[in-house]
Amino acid sequence: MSEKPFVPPVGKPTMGAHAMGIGAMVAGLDYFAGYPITPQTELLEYVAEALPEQGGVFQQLGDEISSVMAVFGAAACGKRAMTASVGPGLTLMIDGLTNAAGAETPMVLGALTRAHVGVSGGLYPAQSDIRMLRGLGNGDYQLPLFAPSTITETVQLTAEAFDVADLYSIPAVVCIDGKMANMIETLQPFEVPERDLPDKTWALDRSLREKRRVVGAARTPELDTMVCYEIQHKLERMRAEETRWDSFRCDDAEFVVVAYGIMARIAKEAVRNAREEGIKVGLFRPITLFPFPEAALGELASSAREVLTVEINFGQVLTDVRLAVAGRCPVQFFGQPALAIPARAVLEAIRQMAAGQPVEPRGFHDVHPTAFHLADTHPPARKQMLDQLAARRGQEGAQAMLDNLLGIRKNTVIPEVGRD
Amino acid sequence: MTEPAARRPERYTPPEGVEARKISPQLDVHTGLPSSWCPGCGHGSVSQILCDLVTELDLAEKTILALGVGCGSTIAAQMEVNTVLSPHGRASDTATGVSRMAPDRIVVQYSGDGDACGIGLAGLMHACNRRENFIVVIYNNNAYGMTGGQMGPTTTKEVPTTTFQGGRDEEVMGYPMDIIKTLEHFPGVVYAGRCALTSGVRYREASRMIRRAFEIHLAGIKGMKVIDCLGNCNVNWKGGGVTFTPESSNQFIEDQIMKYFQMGEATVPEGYPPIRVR
Repeated sequence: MSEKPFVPPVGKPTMGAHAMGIGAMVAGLDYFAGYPITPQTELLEYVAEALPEQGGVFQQLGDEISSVMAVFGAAACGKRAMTASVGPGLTLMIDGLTNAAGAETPMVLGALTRAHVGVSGGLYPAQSDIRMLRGLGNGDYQLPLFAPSTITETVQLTAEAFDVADLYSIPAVVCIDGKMANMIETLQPFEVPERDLPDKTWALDRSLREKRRVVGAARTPELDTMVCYEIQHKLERMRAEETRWDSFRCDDAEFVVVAYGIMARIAKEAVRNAREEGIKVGLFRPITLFPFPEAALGELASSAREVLTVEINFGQVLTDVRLAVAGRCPVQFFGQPALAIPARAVLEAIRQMAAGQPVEPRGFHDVHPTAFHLADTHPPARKQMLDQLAARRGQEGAQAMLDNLLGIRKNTVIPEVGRD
Repeated sequence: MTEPAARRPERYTPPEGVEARKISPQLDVHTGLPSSWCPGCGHGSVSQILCDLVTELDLAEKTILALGVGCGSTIAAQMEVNTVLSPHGRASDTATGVSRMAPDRIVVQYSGDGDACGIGLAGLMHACNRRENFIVVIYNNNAYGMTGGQMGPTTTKEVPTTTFQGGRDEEVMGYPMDIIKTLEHFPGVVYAGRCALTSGVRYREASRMIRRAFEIHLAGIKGMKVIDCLGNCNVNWKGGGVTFTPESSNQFIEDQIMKYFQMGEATVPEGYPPIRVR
């Protein structure tokens, strides 16, 4: 690395995607490989500029699989290596993650999540990849998963993720959603705690004279079985030592809202407003989604009347919340598949929960109140759209096109709940 | 991390009266362990060439093996150098990361034809396109050996496989891929050539070619050095009731498979005299 130390831009407006790169640079990043995908490109561009200046190597490889495997190779040399991707790219990267976990190789993955199943049509932000990120590759493993909710925390946790990865010899994941990736905030002063990290005696660039180094899963059946036990042992250690959470006005809370990442910020405002209305509600924010702060939430649940999980998905952390609450009180869910849920909607949900009612779920029209399919339900809007199309395609062509467009939606059962 | 080295059996000791082959006073990379390859398989020959070469040139400390998945990856038990094991087809990508982070080392990717030309083709081609700096040795036996002899991208029409028992069906599966022809014109490839492991003479040619790749690398010429070694899979070329012996399979390569593949060097840096092949 270069002699000039990296100085994080404290006090300057910083974008969420850049924050991940800054955190990595603070940690002394040596190697970054990636493949462009929205909204990770800003991170790619940032690292491409900043890393070579510090003497590191930045590469843009053929695809996400190549990227994650090259990062594995760099990490196998004992270097600090990172890659980052989004939904469809992360799916490809699972290949390398399971292998790195099996090979017990520390590296960091930046996950910038966006909505929808498969390739997204709208690139909307969401928290829909949490379940995948905790270890959906083959084999029995989970990865430490950090979910920061501010830009400063993103920098800090990304830097810390390298230490956690080194400490447990496992890939660590930092996850922010697409909204946070594009959000700009002033970077506040932050601190990365000093840790006593183990020497990487297994690294490939060590001398053969001392000992031969073999990095990789799939050595012998016995060794691989041993690794399975070791991974479980590591997960136990992580549960004991790496679990992190934050809470807001939970001391006397009768109702607890559980939210993480961007949703925690929005829920915080809703909680503040609900408190003004006299509802005794608090916010519980898991900072590590694995290890999940089970004990802390369980303790809160034992004195709470009800818990509400708010996520931008259909309940990927809900399972953990239920396990933590363990039947001590009812757990409700409030979520939608894409885009951040507005604070007023969360407030309304808190009101409903406080009134002892079931929380009304978010429907399609809550997510896309101005989508073109409104033309289907609102005759004036439909007529306007037809007129516009007809000007270019003629009356018949416009009708056929609109029917075709709307037909796609008509085949889908759109829940009527929450429709205006 | 677990300690793979601790589980390794004792080093092979030759019988009394036979002197151990020690070319260099430095580290000998031959583990001397019995190999898991089938009798007559050419993997043993490539392994021997690589072990001899690395020991002779005293490169044990400098060499890092990058392996994918396939019969070839068991070379890790034959050659005692630092080794990285990656999933099937990802050896080129892993070697990229290793060679970038350890530029003073010689990274050698050893792959089968399925690993390099099938699942790993994109990674290998992009590595060539990016002018990565490592050596790729491909053992091309026209089949997926570890899984029992299925047809691969390089399989020629005459080779009987378990998935295409009458030989490659050109209607469905097209034609055998010539990886050297594919890669030789990449500006990032500085050395490319094909050898075979079918006879003693061919073994010498192969050994010269692999040595040349190391020499070019040691001379500081940056770029990919790709060598495709034709070899048999005498046990698994068995589709349609056809069976082979090591001898007949080697003859079969000379008679049938070499019709499809140009032998010898395809790309050589300036100033290196050509290696003659039959």
